[in-house]
Amino acid sequence: MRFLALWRGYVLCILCLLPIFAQAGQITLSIDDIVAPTFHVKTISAKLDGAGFSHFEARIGELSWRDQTWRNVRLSCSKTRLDNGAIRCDQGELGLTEKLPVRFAYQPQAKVLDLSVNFSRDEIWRVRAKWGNPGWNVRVEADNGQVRRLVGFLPHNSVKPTAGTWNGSIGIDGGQIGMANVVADVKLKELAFADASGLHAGEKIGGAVKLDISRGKAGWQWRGDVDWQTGEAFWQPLYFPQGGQHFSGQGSLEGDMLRVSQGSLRVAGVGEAQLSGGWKMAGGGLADFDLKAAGLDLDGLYRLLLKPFLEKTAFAKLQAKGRGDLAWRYRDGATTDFDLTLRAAELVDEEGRFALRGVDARVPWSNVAQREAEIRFTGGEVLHLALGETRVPLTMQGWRFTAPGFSVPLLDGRLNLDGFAASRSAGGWQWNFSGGLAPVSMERFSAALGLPPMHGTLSGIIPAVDYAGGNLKVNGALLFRIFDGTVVVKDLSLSEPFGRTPHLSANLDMRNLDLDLLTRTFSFGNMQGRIDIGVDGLEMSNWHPVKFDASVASSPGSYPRKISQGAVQNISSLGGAGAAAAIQRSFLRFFEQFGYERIGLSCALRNGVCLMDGVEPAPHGYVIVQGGGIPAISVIGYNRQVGWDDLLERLKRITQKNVKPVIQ
Amino acid sequence: MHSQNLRLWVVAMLLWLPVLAFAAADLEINTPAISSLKMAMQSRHSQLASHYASGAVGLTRDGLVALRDAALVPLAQRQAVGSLVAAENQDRKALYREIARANGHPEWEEEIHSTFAQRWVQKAAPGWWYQNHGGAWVKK
Repeated sequence: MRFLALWRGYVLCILCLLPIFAQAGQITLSIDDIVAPTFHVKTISAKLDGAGFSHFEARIGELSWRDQTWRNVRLSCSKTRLDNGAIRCDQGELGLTEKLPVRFAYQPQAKVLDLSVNFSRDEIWRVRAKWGNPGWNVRVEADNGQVRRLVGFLPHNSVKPTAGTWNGSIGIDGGQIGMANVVADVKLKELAFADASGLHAGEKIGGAVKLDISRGKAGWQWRGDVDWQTGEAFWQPLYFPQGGQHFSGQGSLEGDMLRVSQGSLRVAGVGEAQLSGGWKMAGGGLADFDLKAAGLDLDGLYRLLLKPFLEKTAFAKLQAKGRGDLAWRYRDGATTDFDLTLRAAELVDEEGRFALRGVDARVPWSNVAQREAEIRFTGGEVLHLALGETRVPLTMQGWRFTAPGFSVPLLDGRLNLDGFAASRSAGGWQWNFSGGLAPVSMERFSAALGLPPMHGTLSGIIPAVDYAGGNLKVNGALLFRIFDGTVVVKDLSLSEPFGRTPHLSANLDMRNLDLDLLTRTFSFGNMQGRIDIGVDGLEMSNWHPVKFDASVASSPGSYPRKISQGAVQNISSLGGAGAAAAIQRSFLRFFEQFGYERIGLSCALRNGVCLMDGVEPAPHGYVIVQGGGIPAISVIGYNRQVGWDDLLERLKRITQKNVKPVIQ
Repeated sequence: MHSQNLRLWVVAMLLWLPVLAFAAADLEINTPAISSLKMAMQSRHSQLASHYASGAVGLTRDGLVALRDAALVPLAQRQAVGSLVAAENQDRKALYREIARANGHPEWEEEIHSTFAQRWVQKAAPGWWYQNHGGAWVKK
């Protein structure tokens, strides 16, 4: 619109040329300075002289248009012809920033000025201005016009064209009340533009723009068509690597409200949307809009339009497939309704944390009314644990979502969730649920997590789990059954679970674990019996333990207590170089298994060092295995302090390489 | 007069206490989270180094990085560099938070930000851009 206002200024400038004073052999044009908010023209003089008034010269001391100023602008013609009342020049010269060949014809009676500027052999700009009753019009045409010449006409802080050409025409009609109509039909080639920050830029853009703007009773009516065929553009944070985008629509401009009453937008690789809405041009942003799109390609939609906005979330690196429909209503700066449908969708995290396949969903959301949503998926995985076919019914009341209860097949068991509720507030999302885990075989569980094959089942009760303000907290105790014993996890809390450095704290109490199952699983050398393991004050940073007080001790009760030669050697090696089996080696040679009375080992982890202790003190050490029965064996540990990483390395060697004891 | 001087000394010492306490912060402290963050930042550095050198990315006065002149990055890479800057800042913020936490003083996070800001500038190669105390960009 500003551009059009400026053209109106040009016409006014031309009108000022009208007063003519003739002297002998010379016609002088008397022109006052012209000053307007967007431009000014100062020190203007023009004359026709020479034989038969063949020499024309006009000078402008200073011509300023917005940010651009030209000084000593000179338009001259040494072969001016007066032809049927018209002043014509076929070989004129325009001294602007450079001397340019021009042709012009001025018909005072008809009030028509034709001006043609040859910037180069290929680049020609033509201007025709006509004024008088009932109005005026200006038409600009260009053959390969350099778009950068328009920089001075654009707003100061806007993107600026830096390269490219245009072909076509721009016509402006007006009357006494000002501009009435603008029609543009322009083809762009190799267009490049950028703003000062470089955050909004395009290169090698080719396409076509058609625009028709008319003054109406209440404001302006417009109709337009933009066809972006080739080239790339970056509009922070979105990047469009190629053309194929098309917009056509119509609307109005009333005050500072630019309105699209009916629009159609096609984005290559994503799909087509019908839209309408209003944009407050004076910094007010988007006031309202309605958007409807069907059959959107989720892959393109995610990569092109959603991914840049999801960088700090768990959905930052997804592979998306499938189709989706969306109806979106936005009023007064907020979403009031949306209706999302997904069909045969697939969402796979590139970092392997989760995946959902065969997703069909219908989420008809409203900010005032209660709505029912349903999400189904045929399969997926979380942390490599396979999920089966699931249906999640959701009741939505604004940004509060609840699910009465649903069940997710997990490996060969089920994760049952009761009373799931999620809500969004100023502090972000918060959610809570409770539930239980129906038996999952440890074989499948351990295989999925890449752990040594374990035996038995994993099942448990999940009490209330709350997530708020980036912290996850389990109220009550998590109870699992594993290795034929029980595991109780208490005071579990997790801060920033989806952040860069999750922190976990908890207390673990494991009771009556079957040593036979446990040692078989970890290839530790067979042991029979039952143990209790307590881990108090566990603190983990980024899933690595940094502090705890752990103890392993024989469970109370009566049960067979046997330990193999291999296990004896492995326990000994855990204590480091100073530990040794407190029996004579020759005795080992004859027995595969030994009896024991009790086992005990503790580790207090502080600053990366494990402070170790056993069942009871021994001379220069501590008893780890206290012998009992026949044949009996005792193991003494002598190292009180072992580096945590060193200890892990030893355990890894023992369990993964399945070290066999050497018996002499 | 003597007691007034003494009182002033006591007040001065009390005012200095937080500074003295912060001075005791171990910025080289290591935890699994800190070493994981440092590793991630180290591996990202090879992708960012050329953008520090070109001036497209600069070091901010609060110990983070910023895309100071996107026009120096080829158009097709601008979005990716923006993502790198965002990821680097996420790690830097987490690093300062973790160091404060590992020192047992989460409230030191802000001071650690500014201490690291000076460190980064000291370590920066000649030709890299950084923000001075007034927020203006300066070429080292």
